[in-house]
Amino acid sequence: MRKTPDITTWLLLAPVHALLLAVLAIPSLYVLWLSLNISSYGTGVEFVGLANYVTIFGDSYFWRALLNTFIVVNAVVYSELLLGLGFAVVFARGVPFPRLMLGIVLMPYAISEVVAVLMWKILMDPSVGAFSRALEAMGLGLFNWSVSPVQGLVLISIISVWHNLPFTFLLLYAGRLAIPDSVYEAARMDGATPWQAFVRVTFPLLIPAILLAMIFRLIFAFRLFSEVWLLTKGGPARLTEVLAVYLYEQGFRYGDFGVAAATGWVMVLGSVLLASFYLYQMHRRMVKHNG
Amino acid sequence: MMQYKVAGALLAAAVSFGAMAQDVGITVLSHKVHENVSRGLVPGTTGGDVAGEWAKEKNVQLNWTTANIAPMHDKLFRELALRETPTDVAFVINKFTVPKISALLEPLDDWQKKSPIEDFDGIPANFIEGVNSNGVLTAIPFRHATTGLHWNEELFKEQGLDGPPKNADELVAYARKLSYTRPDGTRVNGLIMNSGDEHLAVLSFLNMYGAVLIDQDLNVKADSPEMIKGLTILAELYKEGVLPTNYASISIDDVITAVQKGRAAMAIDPFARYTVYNNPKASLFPGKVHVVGIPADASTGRDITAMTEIWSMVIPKHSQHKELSWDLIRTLSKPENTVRIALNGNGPVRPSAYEDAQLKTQLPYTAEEAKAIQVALTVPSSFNDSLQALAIFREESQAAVIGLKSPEDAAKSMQRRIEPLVKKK
Repeated sequence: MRKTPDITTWLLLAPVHALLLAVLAIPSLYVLWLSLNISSYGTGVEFVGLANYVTIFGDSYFWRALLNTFIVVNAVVYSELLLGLGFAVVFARGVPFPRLMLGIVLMPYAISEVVAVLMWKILMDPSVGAFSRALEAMGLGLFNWSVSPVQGLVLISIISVWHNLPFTFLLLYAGRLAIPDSVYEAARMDGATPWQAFVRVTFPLLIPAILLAMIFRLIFAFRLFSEVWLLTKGGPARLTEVLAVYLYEQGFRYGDFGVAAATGWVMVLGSVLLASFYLYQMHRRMVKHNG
Repeated sequence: MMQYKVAGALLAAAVSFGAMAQDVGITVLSHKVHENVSRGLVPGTTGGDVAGEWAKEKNVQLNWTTANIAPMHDKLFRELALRETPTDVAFVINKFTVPKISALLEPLDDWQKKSPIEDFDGIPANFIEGVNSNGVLTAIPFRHATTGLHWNEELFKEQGLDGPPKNADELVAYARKLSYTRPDGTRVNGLIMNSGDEHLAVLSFLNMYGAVLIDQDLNVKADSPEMIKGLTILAELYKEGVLPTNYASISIDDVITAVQKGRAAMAIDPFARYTVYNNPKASLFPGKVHVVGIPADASTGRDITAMTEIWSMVIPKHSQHKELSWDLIRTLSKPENTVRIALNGNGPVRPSAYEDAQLKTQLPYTAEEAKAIQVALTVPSSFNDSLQALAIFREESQAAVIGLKSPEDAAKSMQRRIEPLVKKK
């Protein structure tokens, strides 16, 4: 039976809500207000309505950044899910030295993002990087991400997947461990092959965990910044710029806070839009589950 | 008993007076390098603690806040917008002192009239103009980073060359000859410069042929024949492998490592990098990397060319200690202190400092640098969107060099995009 929260419950919850209001809601609304004004260092603010949105929507660099963000986010999130799912299934079936293997898989997540990107940058340096030289020696040609936008985006995606895979893996692995063995026993007794057990048992039961991982990663990946900034700074010729880099340049290099704020709100709406399908699916399942 | 009370009261008064005198604090915001050179903090330097001596003499508590270039300027600009700022003196780079920022700084003309900087005319006019927009004095030059041509004597010898190039054609020919593989397998690029995130070195190369991005009268010259010629040569050098394959992402750290490890034979970089390139702890060629002025093409009518970036001292309009702040600026700008600070590793803004015997012994490139600062150009920052203009230059020049655009198209595009920014002012 559902009970209406009483005054004590509300009072106990109040500090959390006040905190959320102070650190999330009010700053977000301030940024929204800023996006409707022209503002820079020491110039005060001047209300311009939707002019900042018109400016960014009329800027081809914004659309390029949006497209790059869309490509990288999708490449990263779906690659992570596939790999994370594969790892979760393999680990659940048993691997030699499980603790050591788990430590190795989780290790990238423990490394600082800046250190990780710089490490990859050195290894993949087109002139002297150990990895790029090895690829060249293997006859795969020069992987010159610094002048090829496509290769730049590929390397950014690889680094992002490498660094964030442990997060997705942990969520999916926990989800897989929560599936009772009795379900697999029943499947075996019904004559299911391992593939059928995966398709008919593991995958459907993992969907809540997959949705959760997907929502988190879509939102996080949409803010992608360090990988691009530290690796290519959006170059060559701004061809690998993503939305967060576009925002940073506008706000913190050129001091155009109105345009930066408008970009920030477009990013919020974009990530909500991307995640909304999965949020809806999750909500539907929760409603169904709760009867 | 009475005597003890009187003595106690006098002691308390003396202590509180002393404390009050110490209460006056001046806060300086800068990059760490400015504190190091002003206070002689780097071991082995001989100029002494110029700022510290001033603080002692004035009985002032000197607080120094340091940060990297971007966050330091960001902090300053945010503070400038406040009614009261904790910063009294700040060090800024000329490319950031655009009119909207200069308007938030204390005008210094009256201070200069009231209590002038000793031998103010000893600071070159191009340095003063480079850091002050709209004819109002708001910034006093303190340090410059002027580009020169660094060359590795050992690599030159390996390729049968016995000295630096004397003109632009020779520089290009030498760069081609110096792109080779050393006996130990090291691939050498003939020429390297910070082409990934800065404009100074690339503009220096282009200026060898007389190209400028924006002249001092704010005319955009991005599509000049000289610019197209320079970009075409850079594109050829890139295609031939004379410039490094990662041209579009080369940072200053990459340039330093390449020169120190012998992976680049020549570099266009500020003169002051000499000590880093010859540091025995980090370089494979200590004492063998020399620096000279960048040779210019005969068509320019000049022997050498250079670009410069200038750090200057400013006082925020809402500083609480303007008189003391101005006094500190005056002290750091004195001719004798310019020499002392140069001995601590600063690029002196007074050409006369290069005559100092001790400095000449310490830095063998002083004569070359003194010549370079006489012709050094800055990119004007007297319009608000100057940083955007520089970003456009980086973007379009990269596109031309790595072959994404023809030099002609890149130059036209630069002209079309930068002109409205300058006109907007």
